[in-house]
Amino acid sequence: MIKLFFLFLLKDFKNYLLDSNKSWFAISFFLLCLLIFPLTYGSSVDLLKKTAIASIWICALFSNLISLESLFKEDYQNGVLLQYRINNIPFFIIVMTKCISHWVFTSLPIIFFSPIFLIFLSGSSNDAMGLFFSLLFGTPLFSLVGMPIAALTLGASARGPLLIFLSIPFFLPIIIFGVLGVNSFNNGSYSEYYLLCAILSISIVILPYITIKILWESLK
Amino acid sequence: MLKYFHKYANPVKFLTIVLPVRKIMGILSLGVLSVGLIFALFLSPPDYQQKETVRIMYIHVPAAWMSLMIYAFIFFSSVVFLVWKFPLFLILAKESVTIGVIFTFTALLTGSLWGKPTWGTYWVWDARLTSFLVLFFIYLGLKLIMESFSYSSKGDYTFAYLALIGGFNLPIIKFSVDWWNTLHQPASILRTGGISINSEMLIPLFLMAIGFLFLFIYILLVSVDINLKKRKIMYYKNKPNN
Amino acid sequence: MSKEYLLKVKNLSCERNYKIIFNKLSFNLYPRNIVFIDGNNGSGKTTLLLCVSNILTYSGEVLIKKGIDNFGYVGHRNGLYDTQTVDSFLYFWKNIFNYKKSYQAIIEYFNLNKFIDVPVSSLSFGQKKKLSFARLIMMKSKIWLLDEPLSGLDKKTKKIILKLIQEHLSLGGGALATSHERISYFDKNKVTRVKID
Repeated sequence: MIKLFFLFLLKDFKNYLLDSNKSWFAISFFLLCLLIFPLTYGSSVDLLKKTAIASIWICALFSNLISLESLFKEDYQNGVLLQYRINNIPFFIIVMTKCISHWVFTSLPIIFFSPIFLIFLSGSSNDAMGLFFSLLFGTPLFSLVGMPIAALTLGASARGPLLIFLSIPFFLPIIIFGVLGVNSFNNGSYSEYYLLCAILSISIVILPYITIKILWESLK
Repeated sequence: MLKYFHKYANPVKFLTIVLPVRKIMGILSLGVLSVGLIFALFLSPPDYQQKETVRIMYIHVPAAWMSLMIYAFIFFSSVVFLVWKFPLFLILAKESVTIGVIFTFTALLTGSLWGKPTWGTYWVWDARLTSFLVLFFIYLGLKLIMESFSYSSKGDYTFAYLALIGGFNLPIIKFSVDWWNTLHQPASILRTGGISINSEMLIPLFLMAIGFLFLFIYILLVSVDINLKKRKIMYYKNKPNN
Repeated sequence: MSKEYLLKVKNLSCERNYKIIFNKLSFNLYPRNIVFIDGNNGSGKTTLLLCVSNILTYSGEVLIKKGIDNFGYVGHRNGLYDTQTVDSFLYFWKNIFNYKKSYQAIIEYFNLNKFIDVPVSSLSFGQKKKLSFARLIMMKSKIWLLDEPLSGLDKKTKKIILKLIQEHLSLGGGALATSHERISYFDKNKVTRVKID
């Protein structure tokens, strides 16, 4: 079981690394989005400073939304998913490795470089720690919550727009707690982090199973 | 119990049983709504602060109640469909979506029309309004996912699962928006406490709510009928040797 | 002929997209035998294979011999990742199925020596099909579900694949194929034909 898990994880990582479109797309989209905020605010540095954290979160949301489309698409289209199903390979492994690799290649770079992005947007460096942790607890939820929705839209006509439309309402709580968490971090209150962790732990238990059910349905 | 239930979960049987109910609901909703409207628009007293604009409430509040109730209905029918696979419940859930969209939209529209004279603005980023807007988008999502699978039965389960996830998520969304709102109370002239409701206002309010409920049931049954007939046509069209 | 079946299908009916695809289909699959499923395009041959492998919901009975828990499946979609090379593909599936032997023999058998480091996306249709069959060998499943295994292949490849199927049958396996090409290749006593209308 564990051997199989690492086998699949390795396969997914390789898949991301070999397909340079996939691995660079999310992070470059993030940077591109980030560029928009300073440009739209004109020369008002004050405004930029105030909204730096929100901007980074919004860009993280967008890059996650965009990259969700490719989550199960390839496996579904080329029939590998069907092979897995027929051969009784535990779908829990497939779903979890997909989720982990998606997080590693879309959100982890964002989390890692978030202090730099903050300076880039002339935010105050006091927030860097708070932003780092809020992204660390928040972005796995993007991948987890997005997973069942990406599975739902498999085989739908006009999948990309539909996926974005469906997932934004579900991402709202994450982004709300994430942005608020940074603000209250400096005041010494961690309640939003606790909430994010709570949602995360519930999601890890429930959502993979729902995703598995949906994937099985999508093969019918 | 389940066996008994299964007998009536057969769509065609359901229709024949429910036909008289449908007719009664149609007549009742018409009657109750017209009585309620007369009460609401003419007989009930104007609010001492909001004057005549308070009459928007008689549409707004029941519509909001209905949209929440319809989502609960969709959620439970989807769960029943997923667990016991009665096709009837899927059809009920699917047909409720459009009605739910309309009720939610009505609630949002009348709410913002009501907001202008009372709060001085059409829209406030208040917790309740925001979460209602999210509900509206979830309804639209359900509608969209129905449309995008219209040529295959794959969409059935997709729809039910989306309704399920949405049902779990709505309380979380509501909670998060409440949380956000308590921290960032927008500077509005929102009156806390709301209007003091006396019984003369309560009667038309409930009449309208019951009328809307009957109307919902009536429209739902009619659209289920249409849906089943459509399926029948499709079935005969696709029959192997006709 | 032994009485012990590998697969027994009884009164199988399937409904998909609100229409009945086939109704009350019955056949048995014995070891060393092959079942050919006949039918026009769109008559539900692929659907039948998916029903047998318990992916679609069906009514009726599908009994599988005890101890068999997976099927070998080759379909229209080959189930290959474009970015994988032939070598990494074989390595990946070898580990999944716990295939003990080296896959060098399989590469030799399919003449894929030159393509070992080539990504799957640049292989030809026939070569992809060959890889699909390579996975089938490593799976060691008793029952093979073959969805149009020979369509679009050249004579040489067809021969290789037919030989492979023959070998599988001679080892006591069974196959379910939805093709009507080259039925004569197999022993007449060991072929069952099922018609879907």
